[in-house]
Amino acid sequence: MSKNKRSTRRGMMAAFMSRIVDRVTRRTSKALAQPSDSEELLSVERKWGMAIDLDLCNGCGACVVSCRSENNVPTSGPEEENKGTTMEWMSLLPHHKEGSGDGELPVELLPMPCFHCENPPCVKVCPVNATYVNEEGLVAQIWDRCIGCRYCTVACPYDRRVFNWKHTDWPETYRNFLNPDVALRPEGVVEKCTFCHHRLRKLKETAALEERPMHDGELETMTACAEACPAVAIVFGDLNDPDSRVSRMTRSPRASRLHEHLGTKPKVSYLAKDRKSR
Amino acid sequence: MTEFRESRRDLLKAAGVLGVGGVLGGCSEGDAFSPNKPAVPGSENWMRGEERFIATSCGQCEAGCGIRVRVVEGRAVKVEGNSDCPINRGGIGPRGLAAPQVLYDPDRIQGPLLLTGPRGSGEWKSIAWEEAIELLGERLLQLREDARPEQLGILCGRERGMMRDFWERFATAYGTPNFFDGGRSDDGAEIRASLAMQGIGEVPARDWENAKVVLSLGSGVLDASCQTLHFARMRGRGNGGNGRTEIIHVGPSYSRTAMNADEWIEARAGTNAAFVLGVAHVLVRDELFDQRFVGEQCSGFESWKDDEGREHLGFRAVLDQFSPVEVAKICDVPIAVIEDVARSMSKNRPCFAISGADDLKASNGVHTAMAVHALNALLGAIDRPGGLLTQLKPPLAEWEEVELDEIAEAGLEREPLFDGDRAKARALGRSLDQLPNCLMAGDPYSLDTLLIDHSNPIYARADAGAWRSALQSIPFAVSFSPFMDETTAEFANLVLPDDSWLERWEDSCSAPNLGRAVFGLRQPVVERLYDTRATGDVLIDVAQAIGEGLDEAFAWKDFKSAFKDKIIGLHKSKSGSIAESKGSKFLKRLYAEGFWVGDDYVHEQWERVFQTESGRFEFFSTALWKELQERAELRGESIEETAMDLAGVGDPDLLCLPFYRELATVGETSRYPLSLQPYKPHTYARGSGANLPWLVELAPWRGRSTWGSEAELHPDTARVFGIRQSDRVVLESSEGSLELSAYLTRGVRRGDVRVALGAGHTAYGRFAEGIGANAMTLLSTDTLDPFGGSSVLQGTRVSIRRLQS
Repeated sequence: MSKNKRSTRRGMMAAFMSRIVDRVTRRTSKALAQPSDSEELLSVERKWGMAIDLDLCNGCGACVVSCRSENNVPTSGPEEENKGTTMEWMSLLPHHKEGSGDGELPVELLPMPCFHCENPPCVKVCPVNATYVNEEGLVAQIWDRCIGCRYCTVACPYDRRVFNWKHTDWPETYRNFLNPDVALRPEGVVEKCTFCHHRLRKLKETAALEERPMHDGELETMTACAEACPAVAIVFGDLNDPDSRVSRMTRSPRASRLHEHLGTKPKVSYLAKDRKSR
Repeated sequence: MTEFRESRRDLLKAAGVLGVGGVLGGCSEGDAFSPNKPAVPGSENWMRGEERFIATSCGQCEAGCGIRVRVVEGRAVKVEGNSDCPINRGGIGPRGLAAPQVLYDPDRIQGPLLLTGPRGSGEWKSIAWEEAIELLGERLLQLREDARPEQLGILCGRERGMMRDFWERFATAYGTPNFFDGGRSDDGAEIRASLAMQGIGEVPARDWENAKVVLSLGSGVLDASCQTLHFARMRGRGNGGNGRTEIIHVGPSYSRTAMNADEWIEARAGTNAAFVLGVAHVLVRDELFDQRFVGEQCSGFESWKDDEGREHLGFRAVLDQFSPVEVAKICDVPIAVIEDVARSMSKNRPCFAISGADDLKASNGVHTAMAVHALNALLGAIDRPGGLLTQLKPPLAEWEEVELDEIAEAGLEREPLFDGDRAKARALGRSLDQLPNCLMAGDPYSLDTLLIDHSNPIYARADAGAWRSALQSIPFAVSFSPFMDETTAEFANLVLPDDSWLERWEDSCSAPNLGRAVFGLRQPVVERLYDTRATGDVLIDVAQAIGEGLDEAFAWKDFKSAFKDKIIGLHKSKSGSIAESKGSKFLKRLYAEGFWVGDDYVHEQWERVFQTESGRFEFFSTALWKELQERAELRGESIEETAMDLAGVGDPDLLCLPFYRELATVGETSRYPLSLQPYKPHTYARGSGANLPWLVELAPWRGRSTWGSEAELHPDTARVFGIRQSDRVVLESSEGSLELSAYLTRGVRRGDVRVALGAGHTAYGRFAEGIGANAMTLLSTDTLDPFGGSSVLQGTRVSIRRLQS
């Protein structure tokens, strides 16, 4: 009995040591195999994507508010609304079946974050490389580098980029709830959804500290919009992992992407409504 | 162009600063783009960058979702759903997410205020809490010394929970029968129906998770119902995990619920009772109903004889009048639809029907709710999995009973102003909308002091004129509102601002949700920002200042101690999610987890579920019959006359059974051709969302006016009146007029006009004031349900004209 126990303990120690050795060697080999050109940087292990099940979504807008709260996206007020210069990263857009003439009814409301396209038109037109595809396939934006030319807002076929038209005067007390993890953007730059990359980074750090891989369960609700969604309609995750929930949803026969014919390859899929008929 | 260049230069400068500062892990102070957070109380106890997630319960609506508030350096930064809480299981709605804007509203009242000028002048003087409490204490003591404690009125808008009980305790100990329960007017009709048929004075909990089909009758389950969030999540898990719950929505307009439903049946407004009775007719005709349940657990299905030998109608007899052919005419729906719905529901059990609180705020509200409840009984959905459950209450301990002194006893003996015999004889039904008349009548006495908590009748209720006169007639009013709302601004003599719900101790006061008992804890997540105080604490101090036995009834140090006295019951019950032998450990876990949930729900405990006189589910409500008899006696007439007078129905039996009466309207058709349907948008947040820009900018969706109000009407209706999209229009009713912009949509029936509630504040802070129009000002209280219950919302007719620009 005791012998047995000892052997187990020894076994455990051995396993632990070998794990550490493993990690070290893996890290070293990874560092050695660092790709030199950007082409290789883009060929990523992870492919972050999102699936939004419109059958579950009821258009409550929790995602919109959660996004504002998380990313310090200012509200605009009546004046900006009249000018059509409101600011929103995540929008709730009505989807009309036939046309959108007077009185047409939207069949559903689409929560629209940035689609983080694999072939993003916005990145191609940016004259100063303020927007780029990062090593994990996210379409990122460096606020400070943006010169506000707005080419990208024109190029994006999904209208998922918004220009920051005015300096936001946060009421003194409102500054209290600004998220310290996300920088405020100055006036005159283009803003967009980041897939909450600061939250992703936090998750990665936590996983690294705990010496474990990130698991799909925590990734599913990683973004602020997915985390808030009361109907569990928004799911984030790794599209390269065939078993992840987002991958499974993306493979659903109900899934489609907006304007697929443009070849932008958006990484956000919508699952169509599944109306039951009697 | 120059402007642009200038801003670009600024921007580059800023970019430089950010570039450096950003790398160093923070922005330099004084920079326009750094958060520059102001100092807050208590932040000195936090380390730089320290963050905590504090579990509490959301206070933005009655759903009672568990939340974790992310607090960074002593500031509440974000609300996230608590994935362990069984009510919301992680998600959280837009209203809850907007909580930081409640806490950090720039226009919160920052300390006690005393009115120095005339009412409504806005001339306030800041005073200290001691002074304020002494002032109120002396005034209340004087009333008692003059042996007229009944002249203190308390208008309490809280639906449920400990603070409501605390107020009631205060009223009792003080000796006033004038505790006005403002919180129940929202679900009033449903509660009345449940009380009449089941003997339970609470709305039922609904088992969405196991239901296959839900028939929504004008309900806003996915718009602005008190538990939209809970419903949404459960619907996704619905059908016992085999997919999602199917929703069939019946209603006049394309609401969000209609948009999300599997099927929308467009029916005339105010005819839901007829539709339900039509469905019930088919179920009974084709013997598709749950005969065993009806036979064993129900009474009043067949015609019957009471103890006095009087013959009464049964539900079956009522149904004879509601054949699909008749109902199709009343509701303006195809006959086949009614038959289809009935068959689909009987086939796909478990299923249930749900009525909507706003839809029931109509002249036939109580009977519509009764019809829906009766349909649920026919479907065997009462207290079964996938049906309606009778919410269990958490086993809280009771506070020691109040010992009344002579003055209090005498005061409580006095006739209450609101539901005393005189008031009952004067007006039919009991709805808070009648309170102003009761207050003004001065019969048998009038009020001297009114304490207003969680209530803003000047804005949120129909006939603000009557409320204004009523409040004006009361010499002294005290408001406990944390915000300068209309009622506070216009009528308060003294303001004792409450803490925001993120700063105080409380229970979550949630509406029925899971069936099994849930206790949600609400605790301060940050230190209080201003010189405000929790109303519970203030009541204790006022009671101490009065003395005379009230000090003994409120012998707590603060509200938290009273709160703890109650929750110790959870610990002692030795049941539920937190099993700890030591009380201190129990509390520690409760504070950390944020909620306590009881043991699993046990179905079909009929003695608990049916508390009617017969101990059964009553299709024929004997309680209503008794009420009718009493009222007839009060008025000194026969029960038939009373029935005729009340509802224009000759046979009093029909008023005790689920029945359809035509919706009463105000305004003649020739002058006011359109029927007005005010509704709550999903961001309504108890009418208090207007000062939260996150919510204002959300509704209804992008591309529509959010900072303003819209009159939604059918393009054909618009054409008749020469109105085009986005025109400015004027709506006019017999009570008043409103200016708003037109929004044409096929989602509104021809002849109807729909207006969202929640806008048009005349006070309430910089974000709310002067934005949009308040549809409540168009409503008249003449269409109140004679059976009381809810306040009024439906049944007003309006005219529309284009505003010449």
